Amino acid sequence: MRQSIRALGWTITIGVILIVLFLGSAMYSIFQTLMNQGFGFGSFQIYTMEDGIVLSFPLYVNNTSYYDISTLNLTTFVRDFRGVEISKNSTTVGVIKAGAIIPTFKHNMSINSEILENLIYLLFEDGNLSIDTYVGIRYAYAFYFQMEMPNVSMPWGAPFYNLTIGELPSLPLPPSSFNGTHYLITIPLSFENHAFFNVTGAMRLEILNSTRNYLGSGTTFVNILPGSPYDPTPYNGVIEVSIPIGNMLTDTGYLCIYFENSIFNFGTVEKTYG
Amino acid sequence: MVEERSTSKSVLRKVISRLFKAAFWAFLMGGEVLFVSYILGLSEYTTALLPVEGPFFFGFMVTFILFEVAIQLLSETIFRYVISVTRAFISMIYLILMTNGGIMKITIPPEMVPFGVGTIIFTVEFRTILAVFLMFSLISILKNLIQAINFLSERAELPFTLPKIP
Repeated sequence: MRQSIRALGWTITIGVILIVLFLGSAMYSIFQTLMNQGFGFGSFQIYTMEDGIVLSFPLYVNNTSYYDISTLNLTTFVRDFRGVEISKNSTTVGVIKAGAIIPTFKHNMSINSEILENLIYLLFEDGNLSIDTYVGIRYAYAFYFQMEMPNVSMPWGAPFYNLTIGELPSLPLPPSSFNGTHYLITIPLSFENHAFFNVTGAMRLEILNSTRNYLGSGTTFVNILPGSPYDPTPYNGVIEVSIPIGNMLTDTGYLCIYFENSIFNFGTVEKTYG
Repeated sequence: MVEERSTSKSVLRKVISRLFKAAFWAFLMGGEVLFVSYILGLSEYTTALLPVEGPFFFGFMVTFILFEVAIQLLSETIFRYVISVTRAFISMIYLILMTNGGIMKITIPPEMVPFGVGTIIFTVEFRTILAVFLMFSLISILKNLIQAINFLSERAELPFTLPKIP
């Protein structure tokens, strides 16, 4: 019996010493890895894909610790200023052995074209996007560390901020605007690009009369460089609308705007004239 | 008369030695934590890491110390093992409650976070380590039970002398 008691006593003592050593070395090791910049972000990149925009965060891991990182997970959840979900993306890296380096892996936050088409106000209103970030590390097969950064604010710049369509010329239309079959009306168009991406695409304007009958349309191509809410890139152009002779322009009516490019489309944005 | 005096002297010596031993072990088994936390006024920092309130932690440490004192004072009796087993059970429950089942959260307020990122919440999950510690507590209970049985069996084997009839 004494032998059993002694054996159990030694088991507890040796076990506690081992676990304390393991805890100490694991904590020291992960702390050293963090201090030696074992984890880091590269420079943020933006890609325009066929089906939307991708914000890419390159990351690197240099596991200088004594133990493996068995899972590394990064999740981002983006909501707009009205609280609507825009994107939810997760990137997981498998086992990173002790001493191993992962030079680059990318966490992509995609905002697909469908979302931009549904959340049309994002094209015209500036605001702050809210990003929830979760970074999780399973370390030494025994610990799981998670860092949560909720509600990090990121400014969103609207690509068509303050979209303004000028007034139509007063009736009757001057004879100089008639080309024999059509009336050609030039309408001023302006907006500011506050977005971090180029606004490139075709903008179409349709004119409807007061009874909502189609009168005519015109298209112009725009290519505006990226801007920001603090440093907008303005666009001041014109759009030429052709109205066949038979269609009756009225003093009041509607102007319908459509935009189309490889990333997103929008329309109809309707304004009245007269 | 002389014999009586020498007996009471030896009892007093025994009690004093046990009291010293109890004080030493009480300091070693949690007293130092209370000393650092409450006497040196660092409780704000030590309890900030725990998911429980300060008084809970204080209660745990005081309970642990009281058990240790009782164990030392009642050594060479069967109560020592009873108290040891009770302490192991209570420690297991306290440990689970104090570490929130092995998941601890630390919230860093926005004013302490650089670059205006906002609140940061750190979560540490160490259920495997907690399970190992609980397993050690179970082994400790087993050891105390065997020690109690051993103690009783040794006592049963001691020669029994009948008291002298005056």
